[in-house]
Amino acid sequence: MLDFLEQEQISKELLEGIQEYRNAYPTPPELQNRIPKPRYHYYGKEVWEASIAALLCGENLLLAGSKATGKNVLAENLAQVFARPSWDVSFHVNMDAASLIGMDTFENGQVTFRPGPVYLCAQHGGFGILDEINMAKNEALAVLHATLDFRRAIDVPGYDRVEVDPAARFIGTMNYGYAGTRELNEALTSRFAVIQMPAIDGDGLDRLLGEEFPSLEKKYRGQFVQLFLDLQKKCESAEISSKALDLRGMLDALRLIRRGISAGTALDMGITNKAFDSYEQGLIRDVIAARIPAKLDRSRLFTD
Amino acid sequence: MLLPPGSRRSWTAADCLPTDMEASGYSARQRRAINQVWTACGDYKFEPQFLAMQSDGQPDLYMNCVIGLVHKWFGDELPKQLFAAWAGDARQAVYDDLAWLALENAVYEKELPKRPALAALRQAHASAFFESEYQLSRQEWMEKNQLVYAIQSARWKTVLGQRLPVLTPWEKGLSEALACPGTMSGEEVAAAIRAAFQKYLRFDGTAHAKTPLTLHFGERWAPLLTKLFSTEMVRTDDLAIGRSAAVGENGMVRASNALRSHLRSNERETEDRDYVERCFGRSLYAPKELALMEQRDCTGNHLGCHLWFTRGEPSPDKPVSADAQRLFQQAEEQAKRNRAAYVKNSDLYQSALLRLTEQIRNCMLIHQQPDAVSARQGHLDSRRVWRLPVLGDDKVFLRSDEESTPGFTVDLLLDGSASRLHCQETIAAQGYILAKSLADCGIPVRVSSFCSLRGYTVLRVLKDFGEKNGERKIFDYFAAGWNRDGLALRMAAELLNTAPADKHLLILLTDASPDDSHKILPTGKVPLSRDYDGQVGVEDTADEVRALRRKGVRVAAVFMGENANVPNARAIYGQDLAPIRRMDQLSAAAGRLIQTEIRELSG
Repeated sequence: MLDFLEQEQISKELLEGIQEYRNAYPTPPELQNRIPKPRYHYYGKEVWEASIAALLCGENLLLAGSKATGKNVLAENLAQVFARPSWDVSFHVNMDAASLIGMDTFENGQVTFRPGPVYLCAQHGGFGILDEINMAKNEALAVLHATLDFRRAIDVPGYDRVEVDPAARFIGTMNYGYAGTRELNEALTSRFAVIQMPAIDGDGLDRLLGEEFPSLEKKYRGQFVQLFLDLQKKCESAEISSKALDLRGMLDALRLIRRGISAGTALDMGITNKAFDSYEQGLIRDVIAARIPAKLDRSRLFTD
Repeated sequence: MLLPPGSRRSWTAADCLPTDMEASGYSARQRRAINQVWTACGDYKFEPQFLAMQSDGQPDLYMNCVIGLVHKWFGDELPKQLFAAWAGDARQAVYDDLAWLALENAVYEKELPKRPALAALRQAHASAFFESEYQLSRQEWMEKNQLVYAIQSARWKTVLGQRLPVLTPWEKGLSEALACPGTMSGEEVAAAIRAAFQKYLRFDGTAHAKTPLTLHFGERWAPLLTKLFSTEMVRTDDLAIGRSAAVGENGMVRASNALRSHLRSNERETEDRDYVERCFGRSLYAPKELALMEQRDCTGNHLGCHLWFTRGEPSPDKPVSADAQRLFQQAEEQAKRNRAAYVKNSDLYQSALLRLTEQIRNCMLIHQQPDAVSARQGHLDSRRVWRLPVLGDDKVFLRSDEESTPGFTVDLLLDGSASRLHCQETIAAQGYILAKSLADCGIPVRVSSFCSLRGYTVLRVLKDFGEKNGERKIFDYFAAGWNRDGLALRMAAELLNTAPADKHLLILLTDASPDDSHKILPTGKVPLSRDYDGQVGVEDTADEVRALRRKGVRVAAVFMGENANVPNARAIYGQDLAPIRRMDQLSAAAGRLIQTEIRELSG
């Protein structure tokens, strides 16, 4: 991963900083399997440098951005670069403090405390990835305040106070426009360094597709990149909802085409059918038809 | 031998669309067509002058892409100037079709390296051109222009790699001149088109319109002809339910003698009251109750005015006059038109409905605090614990309920004055979308329309809070008469007393231009009577909005009207204003206001 960062021309000081951090906080063997092995690389020198610098300074990160900006990819990439075990917490509307810190349970005839992901992360000095942090109610998030600020401690009522390991960092991801999201309150936001994630650009997408599908014809790789950008523009103009703006879906569609499904059907499955409203599906199909002929198949798209 | 052919595709010039199209928005198919244009050019602010629709009314993907690409490669001005050169000419349609053929070739060649899929789309378009020949009726063939058809055939045969049709040397020359290569700049393409038209069609650069025929009719013919042809709308104090005289529509008008603004005698009042009752339906309140309300509300600027609350139900005890019968029929026809318009564009409306419901539900889910409800288990509720020994009621605990009720009601008050004649169908559809989505989210909603006539301000409840599946009644909306906004707001306040929650949100659809034929009576301060319009009307409405807000009602407005009235709207409604440009944005704008309300209510 560090080789990739060198390729990305990340500043030498930062790379040295990462190396020092890794030497200072080696991961114990029993937690090695928690270090993520991300499937994709994050592309974007500025965002890489900003996030590495913030984490080296001991800050927690909040990655804010719309759909398909690579928030989770970056979070996983960072955990891998810093070689830290990670705990993923997917936030939802009914999230409460107990699901973050831990709760009482009955073990061997005794009431004991079963630690939650945030507790474990703090204890082991891991990277806590708080996915879609703005989905939870602010009351539930208040429990994180002491963990995230200078106090760096978790005080569990009725149990011990746990000091947060100096290696531990928390990375929140959030999307303002998503269904089910709310404004994050000021108290919590102030405990993060916030990075506004830019939308993936044509070059980044082209590299991503090139890496993921090396045998994809260059001509059509460009068309898939443009297709995604066309959908992005339509979504920004509020003509379609963000359901169809699905990078994962497009990659899935390409995999389906490689397996022998025609482009029309594969893109329907990966992109169009994610919008359940027939009118919107019509608009999405038009965007696709203006870039990718429906009858296109594996033999014309892939060289292998 | 072929009958006179012409363009296969029907080109709908957006600037020639009926004026109500501008106001009420695009149909579902046109919306899809314009999206195809935007996809190709990538500029979502571009308002295309043309849209390509097939003869069956479906959008033509390839030609809409071409329209978008012309904007992308040649900009906005150049094509506008080109088409303006022959606008209004007797042969405009021929010039338009041929010019598009030239532009098509140029932009196709320019764009192809960047968009290989264009080749397949062009082939499909060419095949469809010849396939549709067998589906055309004799009448459609008659409408075609032979020259345009021959040149188009030649182009699409070339695209399909087939043998060219037999062309005269003159047609061949024109066809070749219009095959502008992609290497040409926009100016060169425009020059080539003009040169080709000059050489082969003798177009001298100026439009030659047909001389319009003007006839003058006397008193005997005018009433008959105004019924037959579209005419200009004149607002009067006689009720007329009809359509605007927009281009391409069969308008209707009712002539009136004069505006009635003088004080009326008692006999006149009874006559007017009967007239209003016959036109709008019986009153919701008994005469005594209504008189009390009038005593409360018809004061100050509204002295001498009357109120009429109705659900549009006819009065059983009133004899039905021919006049009233005709008005009811007209209202029914309008309701039918409203429903038909909704069905026609149901795809688009259904999509808007789903999206709005999802947004509101999401907003509620996020921002509502759980309610504590009485239950058989949970935290003990000390205030209810006595019920267990005394009444045997074991629901003495409190349980938090995530599915809480919204705690507020929404009143949508639609301006039903004649200024909305041109977009009644869209208003009805938008009102329906809003009411249906709110009802689906469990938010109580009432939809009413208001207008004024002969000194009566009529508030017609189209859909009331309690009515299950009452949303369809919103299609009974029609526009007529004047609008005395200040008094309508006082009436809305009266109705709010019957709402099933403590907190209220009142959303008005307004043009911020209060205007009533009934004058403001002289007062001690102002000894002369004044018209209820302009600045006076605005100030009065603003006062009423402030009065409602003092009572704790949240008042917001969706504004659609002339730009000159925006400052008036701001003066009346302040920050709680959502201006819209087209009527099809009404439900989305009102939806945003409701979401703000939900957020603020949850603190």
